[in-house]
Amino acid sequence: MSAEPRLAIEGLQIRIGGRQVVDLAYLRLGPGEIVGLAGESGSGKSMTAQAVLGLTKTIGAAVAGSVVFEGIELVGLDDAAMRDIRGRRIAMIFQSPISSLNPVFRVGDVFVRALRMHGAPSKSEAVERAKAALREVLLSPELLERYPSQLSGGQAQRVSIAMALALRSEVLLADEPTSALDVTVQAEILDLLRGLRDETGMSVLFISHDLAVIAELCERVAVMQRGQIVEEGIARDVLTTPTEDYTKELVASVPRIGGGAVA
Amino acid sequence: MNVQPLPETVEATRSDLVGRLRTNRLVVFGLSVSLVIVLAGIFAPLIVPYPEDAGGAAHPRETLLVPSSQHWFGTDQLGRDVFSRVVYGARVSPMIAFLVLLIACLVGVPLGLAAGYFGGPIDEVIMRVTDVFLAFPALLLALALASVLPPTIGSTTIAIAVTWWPWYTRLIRGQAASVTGRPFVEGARASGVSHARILFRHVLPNSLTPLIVQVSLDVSAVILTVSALSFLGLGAQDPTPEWGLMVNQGQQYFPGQWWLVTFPGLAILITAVAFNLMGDGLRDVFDPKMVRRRGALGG
Amino acid sequence: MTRFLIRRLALAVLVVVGVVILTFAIARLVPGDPAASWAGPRASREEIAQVREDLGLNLPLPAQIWRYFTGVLQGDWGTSIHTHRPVLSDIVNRVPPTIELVVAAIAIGLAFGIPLGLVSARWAGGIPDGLVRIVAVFAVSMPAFWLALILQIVFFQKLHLLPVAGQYDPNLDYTNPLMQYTRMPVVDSLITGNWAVFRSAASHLVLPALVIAAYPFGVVARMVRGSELDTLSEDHVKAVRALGFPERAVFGRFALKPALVPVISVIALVFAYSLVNTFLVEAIFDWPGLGSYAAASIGSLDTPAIIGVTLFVAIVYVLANLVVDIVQAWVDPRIRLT
Repeated sequence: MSAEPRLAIEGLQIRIGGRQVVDLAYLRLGPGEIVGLAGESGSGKSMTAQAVLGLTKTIGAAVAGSVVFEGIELVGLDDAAMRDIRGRRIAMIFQSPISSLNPVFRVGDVFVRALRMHGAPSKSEAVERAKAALREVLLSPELLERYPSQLSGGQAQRVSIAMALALRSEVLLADEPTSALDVTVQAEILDLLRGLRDETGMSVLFISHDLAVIAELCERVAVMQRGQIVEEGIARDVLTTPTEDYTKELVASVPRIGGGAVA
Repeated sequence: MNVQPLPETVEATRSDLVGRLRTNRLVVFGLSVSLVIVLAGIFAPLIVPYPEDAGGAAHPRETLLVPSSQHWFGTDQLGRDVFSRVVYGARVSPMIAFLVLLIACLVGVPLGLAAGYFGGPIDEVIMRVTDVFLAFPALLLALALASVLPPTIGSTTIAIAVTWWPWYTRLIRGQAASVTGRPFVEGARASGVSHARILFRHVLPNSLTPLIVQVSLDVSAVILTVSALSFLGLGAQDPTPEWGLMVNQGQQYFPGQWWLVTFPGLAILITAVAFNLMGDGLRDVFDPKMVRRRGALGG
Repeated sequence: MTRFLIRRLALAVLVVVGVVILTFAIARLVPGDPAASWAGPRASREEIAQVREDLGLNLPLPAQIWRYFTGVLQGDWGTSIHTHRPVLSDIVNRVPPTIELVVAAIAIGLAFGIPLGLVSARWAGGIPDGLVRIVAVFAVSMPAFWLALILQIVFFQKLHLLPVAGQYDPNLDYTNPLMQYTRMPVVDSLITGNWAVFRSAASHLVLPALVIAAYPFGVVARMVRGSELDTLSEDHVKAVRALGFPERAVFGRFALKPALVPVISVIALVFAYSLVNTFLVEAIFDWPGLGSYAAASIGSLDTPAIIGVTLFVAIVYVLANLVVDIVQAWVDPRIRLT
């Protein structure tokens, strides 16, 4: 059974300009767990993930509630401590892989700088760790020399995952990481995430509107609608025999070949 | 607890546009000052104390008077009231500017539409010619043209209009090309709708917004160009109360009789600022890009 | 990168050809007799007829264009009516002071425009933003000739702070004669260690450079503000923040570099505008550069000189655009890779 959850979100409320966009009662992520956060566009899934890392201030959002990571309360955490956690302990990857990389810097520039900032003792050491991480995600280390516009979507996403790997993050917040990728590439990324979890015990919060992908990858799933979690539980159970109406609608809308339940 | 879905984009509704326009104080200032200037020009004969001084009048016994209650801006070397002339100047430069922009649009827009819509060799030819015109800095080409033409307001207008049309051709061509690429245009052509109809019903309206923004931003630049040409002696001639010309004429009495140069120049500056702010505002209102987030920094 | 370079170079050459032809058109296809205009208002009928011969005005149009073209390539850009010297040599002589002026102006514009634009973006919507925007809009709307005159009153007449005529104190030619290499007093005095001239030249440069710098400053400040704000809303900024970088690194390195790319592209335009602005300003400061030459030529209806200057500045502009495009492609790999 589950030990202490690695990440525990409780009573999270996010308001933007007087409008309440997230009202999340509870969500837990255990060590080595892959949990899905499902829902349609605008349900507040991305907001939730960004709020964990304190990234919502840039759009003027007010965050209240509790997000506890390994005993540390993240809501209201001071800047310096939050910056230490970002990347190094909780990493985040985004939907558009190539746009998530700075177009005028070589891949290695940002990668190495991030490693140095989070404690790599020297530049050469950081470069070595970056190269090792790239090999782990089955990319050639020479990709460090390339610019993002020279990478494919799949390669770019692997680079972002490699950064989380190199920084040895304990939690990965993945915000629609495969939605912009081809189906075959998508499968490779899912394999990669599973492999990372198996090897390093990384916990993954996998956000997606695509129930089929969630069914494939996640052990548990929480369904969000309009900022609230309407149903939560073991993925297989929730997706094959949903109890809430909204979940039923979502599941029913997934196209299936030859009918039958989502595997 | 009323939880609402997070909007993916902020679509500008009509009331939003007006709202945004109203809240930006700089823009409101620009709009109102521009309006005041245009109105001042239109009603000049009614509001100035010495309307005849804006024309051929001369008062040899009142030359170069210091600003006073009778002559707010003093008098010039021919005894003419500077204030009256400056206000009358609001008829000259802005009017030339509007004419210039009108001609530039009348020439540039159809060319841009043709280039963007028909593509192929027509596009190539038009764009190469446009490129050559655009290879000249604007003021330079206008100067060269104006210097070989007789020095009149008409020449200034033509010279600047010839310089300006290529910008609009390039702008419209881009818009037209992208609208033409859309499936509904292909469909219309396939069903036999005539080119003219497609162009005027579909392509043109969709290309207008950036044009309007650009034109309003250009007003101030054209006014500066007009006054620069007149300053060099290439445009309006005495007794026309053109601001640039007045600064030129006042130079030789500078800095002793500073008012001859200061007030007309100030008029140019304020007019240009006002129209610039107005243009900025229109651009902010019509810009399809997302409304910029306030204080886009985080912690 | 080389393919990009070759393409751009070829395009530039084509444009220059077009520029020469357009200049030819302006020179020839004018109301009245182009020969009379070329020979000048004081030319006699024989001189005009001679000019008509020289220009080949009796030849068919293509032949005229060809003759003009080859003339330009060989350095025959006509003879100035005013100075009676070849226009091209006049121009070349007058260029250094203007380079000095324009380079100084753009340097000032960038040095103040970029930081202030960033300040504006950093506190967008607040008071620093409002102040910078107001100053910038005034700078961009400023009639250069008027600013020149006003600064003259303020700094020379009233405050006696800065000189307003010439490039440096002419008396120094006797006491500390200057060795001329680049024919830019500020540069030459610096390399030869002639500090008296350097001080004088620098102080003479201040006012004219400030006047010309107004437009570049305004444009750059506004562009940097807009570009930085746009860039800050892009995905890669969010991603780099999520990696834990401090805000000043996010703002000042990761957002700034991509934000500067469109600013680079505007520098060529700003350079050309400044160059032409010198026509309006140099005469006021007795600055012996291309600008005062152009203004004087316009005043004396020196058509060959006017056309020559036009052609020269246009070619410089094409080259400036080429350089800027190359720099942009070097900074932003997306441009050369498409």
